[in-house]
Amino acid sequence: MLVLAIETSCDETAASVVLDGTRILSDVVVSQMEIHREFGGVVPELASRKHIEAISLVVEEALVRANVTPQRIEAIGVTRGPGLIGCLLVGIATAKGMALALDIPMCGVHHLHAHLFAVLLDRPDVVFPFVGLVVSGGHTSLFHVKSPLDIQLVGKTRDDAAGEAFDKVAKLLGLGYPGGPIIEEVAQGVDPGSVRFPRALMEKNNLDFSFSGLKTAVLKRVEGLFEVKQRNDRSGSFHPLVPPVRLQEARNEIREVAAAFQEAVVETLVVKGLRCAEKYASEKLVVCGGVAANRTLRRRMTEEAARLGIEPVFPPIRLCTDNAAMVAARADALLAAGKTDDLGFGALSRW
Amino acid sequence: MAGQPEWNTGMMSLMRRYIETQTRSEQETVSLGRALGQMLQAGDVIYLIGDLGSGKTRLAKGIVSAAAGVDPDDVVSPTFTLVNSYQGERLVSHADLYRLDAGGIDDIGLDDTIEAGGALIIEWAERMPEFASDPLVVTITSCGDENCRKFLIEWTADGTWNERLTTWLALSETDFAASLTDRSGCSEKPTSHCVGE
Repeated sequence: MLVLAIETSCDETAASVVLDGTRILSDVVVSQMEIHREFGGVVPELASRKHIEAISLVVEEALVRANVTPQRIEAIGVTRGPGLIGCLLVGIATAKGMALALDIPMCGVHHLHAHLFAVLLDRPDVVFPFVGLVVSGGHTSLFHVKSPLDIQLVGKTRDDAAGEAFDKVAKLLGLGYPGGPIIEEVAQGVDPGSVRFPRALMEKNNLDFSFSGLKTAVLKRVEGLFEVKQRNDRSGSFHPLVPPVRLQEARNEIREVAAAFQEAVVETLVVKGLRCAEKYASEKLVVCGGVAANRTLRRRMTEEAARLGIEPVFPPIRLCTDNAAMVAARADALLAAGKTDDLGFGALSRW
Repeated sequence: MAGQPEWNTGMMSLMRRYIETQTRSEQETVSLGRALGQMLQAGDVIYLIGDLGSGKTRLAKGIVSAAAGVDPDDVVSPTFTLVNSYQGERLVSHADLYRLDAGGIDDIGLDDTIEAGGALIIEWAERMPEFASDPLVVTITSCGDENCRKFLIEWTADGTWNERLTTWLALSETDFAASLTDRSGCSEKPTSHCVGE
């Protein structure tokens, strides 16, 4: 089946054409990250508008690169949620319009299920059932993927997502945005020494995550280190605790805190991910989402998994960050099982 | 909500009332949130003000789970999605203005929740203090050790919160707040249910 998929749940406007859920014919992603960095935050109305400006061009580009005419597309998949509602609606409206005009079936896709299906685009040898860890700026979830139509959420964050913790810690350390790559760079090759932060919910049978206590522990440590208090001195302001610096000039204490923080997050993800794979007797643990790009996570997960005879599978980084090819892969599985949505379906910010 | 005449806010600010209380653990913070959540009514707005790591989301977990009738574990940080709406026994939306540029605050549909008969919990509300005319304002600060948190809960004497808060206070002296007074280890003297005007 030739599927066109659209993804607009957050900062990326993406479209992709995928054949039979496995062969990527095109994969186009336009990111708004630069725009949000410039504004120092997300402007929802602007984010929706940027999706509207980009969506037609992105879809057209996906068709051109795949070298297919719209008439050859057999079905459409689109991210239904979770995500920013105004952003999701742009993709959904586009998908509905095209499905109606082309008179082809359409289906809404769960963004996290799409992340899990990204692996099938790269590793056709991954078979059901398997266990997957989706870890990104907005999500930290463990799934038992029994079959394409039976995906169970078995663990999730009870407060902050792992990527969100990276962003907030980078900000309070004065290191900028986005936090993931920045913390990784500053912590590169640094031994955290005596600095150690707590790991939450580590009891044996617990597959949930919590990162807000870790964030607070980092805050207290940095306050003590620099004898400063968070300065909420202007209405609604939040200042970094440490004056912003260029990364290469970051002080040693900052590097140690960053390294200890990263270690705490990585250890939590490794322990819980592998525990989940063991619990469900899965030989493979799929690790996906933006945080799966973290090299320390990849290295530690690979080392620890080897001890247990589990193979961690990381989709290529291009497929870990938000993209539409994974949406096409997921849509293909749903459509093949006869799951379609009519023109009445709406966006779901939480799902 | 926003468009209220200015004299309204000004006059009410002359008659502000407050409660101060402390919690000693994350569980106690959730319990305090649940107590507030149980008195939530349609159209209510609660502002949560406090630094990063002060416990805003933790308190919101209690408020939302009690008010909407959902599992506290399902109430997560809205930083990424900006607004999380929970439709349980009642519609409760939990918003976080942390990532928002000031220009974007009007665009995340906060009015929709109120119009639909729901209630709103807003973190980093100091970024849009004029949004609601009669909010319950909870300011969270740290008090000594890592787990101690001080809550300043403010409302206006002639607003919709007064009766509820007064009743809660009266009942909780023997029940909920009493369990908050018996604290040791906070560097500051516990000031549970101090009431002021």
